[in-house]
Amino acid sequence: MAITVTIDGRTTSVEEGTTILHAARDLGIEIPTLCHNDAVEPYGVCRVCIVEASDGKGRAKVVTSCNYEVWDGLHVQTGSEQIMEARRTILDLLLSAHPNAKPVQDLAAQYGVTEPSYTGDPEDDCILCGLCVRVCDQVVGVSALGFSNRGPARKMVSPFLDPSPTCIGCGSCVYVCPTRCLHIVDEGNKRVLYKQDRKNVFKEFELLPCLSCGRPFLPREQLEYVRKKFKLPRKLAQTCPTCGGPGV
Amino acid sequence: MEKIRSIEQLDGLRDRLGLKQGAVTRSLTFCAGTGCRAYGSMDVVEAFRKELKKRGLSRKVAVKTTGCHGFCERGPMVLISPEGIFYEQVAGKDVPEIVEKTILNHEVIDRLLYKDPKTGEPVPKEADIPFYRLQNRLLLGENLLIDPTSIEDYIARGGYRALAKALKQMRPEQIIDEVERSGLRGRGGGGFPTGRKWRSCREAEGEIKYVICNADEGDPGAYMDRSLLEGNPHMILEGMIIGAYAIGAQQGYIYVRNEYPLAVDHASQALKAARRHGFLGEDILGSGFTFDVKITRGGGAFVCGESTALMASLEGRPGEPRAKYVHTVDRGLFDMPTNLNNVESWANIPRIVLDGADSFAKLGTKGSKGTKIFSLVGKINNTGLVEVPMGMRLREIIFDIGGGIPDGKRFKAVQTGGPSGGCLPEERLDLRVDFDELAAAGSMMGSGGMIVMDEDNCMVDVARYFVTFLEEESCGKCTPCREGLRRMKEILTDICEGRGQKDAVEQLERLGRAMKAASLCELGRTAANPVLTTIRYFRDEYEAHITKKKCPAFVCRKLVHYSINPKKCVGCQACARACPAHCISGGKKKVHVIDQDRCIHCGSCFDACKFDAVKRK
Repeated sequence: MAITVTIDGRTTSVEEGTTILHAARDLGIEIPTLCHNDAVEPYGVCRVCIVEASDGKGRAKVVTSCNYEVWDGLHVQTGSEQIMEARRTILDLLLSAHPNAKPVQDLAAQYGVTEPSYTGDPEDDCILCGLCVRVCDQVVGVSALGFSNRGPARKMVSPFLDPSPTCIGCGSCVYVCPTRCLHIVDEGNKRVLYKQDRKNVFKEFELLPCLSCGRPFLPREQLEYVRKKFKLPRKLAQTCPTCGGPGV
Repeated sequence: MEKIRSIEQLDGLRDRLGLKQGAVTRSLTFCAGTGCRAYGSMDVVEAFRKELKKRGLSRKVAVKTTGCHGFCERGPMVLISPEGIFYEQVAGKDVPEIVEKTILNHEVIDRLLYKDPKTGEPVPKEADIPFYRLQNRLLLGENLLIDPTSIEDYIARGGYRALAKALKQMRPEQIIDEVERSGLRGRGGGGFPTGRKWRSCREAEGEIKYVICNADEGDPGAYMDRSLLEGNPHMILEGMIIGAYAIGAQQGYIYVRNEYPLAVDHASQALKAARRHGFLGEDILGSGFTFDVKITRGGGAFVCGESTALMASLEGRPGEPRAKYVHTVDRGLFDMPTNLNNVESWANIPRIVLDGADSFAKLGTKGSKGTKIFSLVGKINNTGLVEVPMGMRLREIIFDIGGGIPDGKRFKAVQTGGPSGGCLPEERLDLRVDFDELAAAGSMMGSGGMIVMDEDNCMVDVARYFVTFLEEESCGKCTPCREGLRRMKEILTDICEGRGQKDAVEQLERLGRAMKAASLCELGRTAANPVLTTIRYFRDEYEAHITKKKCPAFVCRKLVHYSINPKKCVGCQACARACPAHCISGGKKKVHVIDQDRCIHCGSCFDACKFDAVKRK
């Protein structure tokens, strides 16, 4: 069933279950996000995508557009004074805590925040958006990453700070990380997954060679996981993409 | 024990139990709540048992231990029935005298009576003590009358009669109508209309439905829910069973923190006893309704009192809240419709069902009905739990029931609603306490904490204390709460230590606005309250700290300067002995001097000096 929703004075018709964020994109209205990626369930934690939602008459309430589903007759203000001020404060807080996180710098600059108000850690670019944790859980399905501690001490870690027994070294977490603070590098027959700098090594993998060219390319854990998951025959998954194999 | 199948059977049992209890002419009731136990009440109980046995009175005088009576300031206490005599701060050595004089010879021992602080007169009867007299103890009053480990006591007081009425004489919708008409609002803090929540949960689609009792009370200084669950677990359980029937739930949970061992124990015993009597399990009271309850012990995280975090924790996931755009009554625990209510909300249900909505709604204000239990702590004479009708003035609660401020000090503020409540000043003492009035004043009802502060409290320091608590307890999931609290704490610490920037108050307000508007859950949205209300009502204290670098209450150590007035110093050495930094010099009968470089500003010298020679500014 189609639903009518008005965003910043412009009306559109969208499917039930659409979030404000997507309805706005349909209208070409950009709402900033830091913890959102369409590949995973919305999380609503960075809070920069806040907007004001109302029925057009009563008092508006502040909601996160990434996980708020529209309803018929919904009115949304994406840039009211209250929203702009709160967003600026949130970006200031994020930039203060993570002064070198590139997407935070860029977005904060758009909102006029170039100098953070408080001192943070220039060597901590992880903004705790949870994209790596979610992709590992929801897309890869191995839940190798999580959070430790709470409040300002919260950190994204591998469980118990040990090499995660379930991590397969696929690098999906690195791929979705918006601040590029996760890294995966291949060195000879070794693959290393780490956060920020080499002091935070999450796991090291031994790479198996390509059966055709002999180049190390595949962590054993990944091979086994993929074989099991897709019930692949033994040989199929062991040639590297360069040699025309399906890779993984 | 044969399971009870009908109202007649329940009534019969109650009458038999009533006769049995009526046969006992004299009884001694002891508060055995957690507070009084800490005072040693169980030793006193043991001493009485021994003394009565020694004198061959064990069969004639019943000894009953109950849950918290609420007058925690005066424990250990004993209530002697039928006379209603109340002895306070009873010790083991008083026991033979009490048995000899009061029990055998009906003499009152003046020494052990409560003295009215205004008149100095002893008050022999509990009912006449202002602390009790001015309350309306619909829920807490029951605590005094029953042994929480005895289902018989509860049944003899009319317990489970409301359940029988609900199951046998009412349709689920009728119960919901009654609860809705009563005007009961959630006692855990939100103040959401309970009946409406039940209706939404009943109407939600789902094959399995759950009810949850939220006993994750975590506010510093608050113990209302603890005392109800410890003191009268069956009342809460009865409320839950009625709620489950009305909503159509099959399974219930009591989520209680593991730091409440007595509550866990009493609730567990209550569940077993209720199952034995057929109040839980299959075909309850022969009605065909099946329901059971499990206890889940929480690890003590404050945020787990938030409904979605509680459910996550119950499922075995980290206790972090989620957005409530999809309500928990639609998709809650294990994604099924779930109705969560606080301990005190559940405890009100049996009475509403039994006496009707009108009787409940007679008490209270337009928007807040019934009574509310507050835990009155801090700088107050009568520390304890008080239950009053909604709408009572703060002044009456603090001064008439609470007995005012100790040591003749001046009242400064009362913090209502737990750590994220607000601090209200003297001008607001005539505020009528209900959900809406408190919110309008910038504070909140919360679950009913009330912390009283006097002239010796620094309001900036108080704000820093609560922000520190909340910063530690924030789950850290969303930016405004995690980073906002962190920066608020930094700013407040700077102010308290003399480094406050000129724009510190504006910064705090800006952070507060963002946290209020944009945080994920109610913890973050309310976390700025202690800061914003202290700024609103005590801005001058902030300014004194920031511009004059002074703490008017002499609390913030780095801003307090101690020196010795040579004209007044007699050289008694008391200050030098008290000084932990050993930085006061001067021999016997010589004027003493504080070495300012080594002084740690602790104030020990100020407290130790009997000659008013230590100056602070």
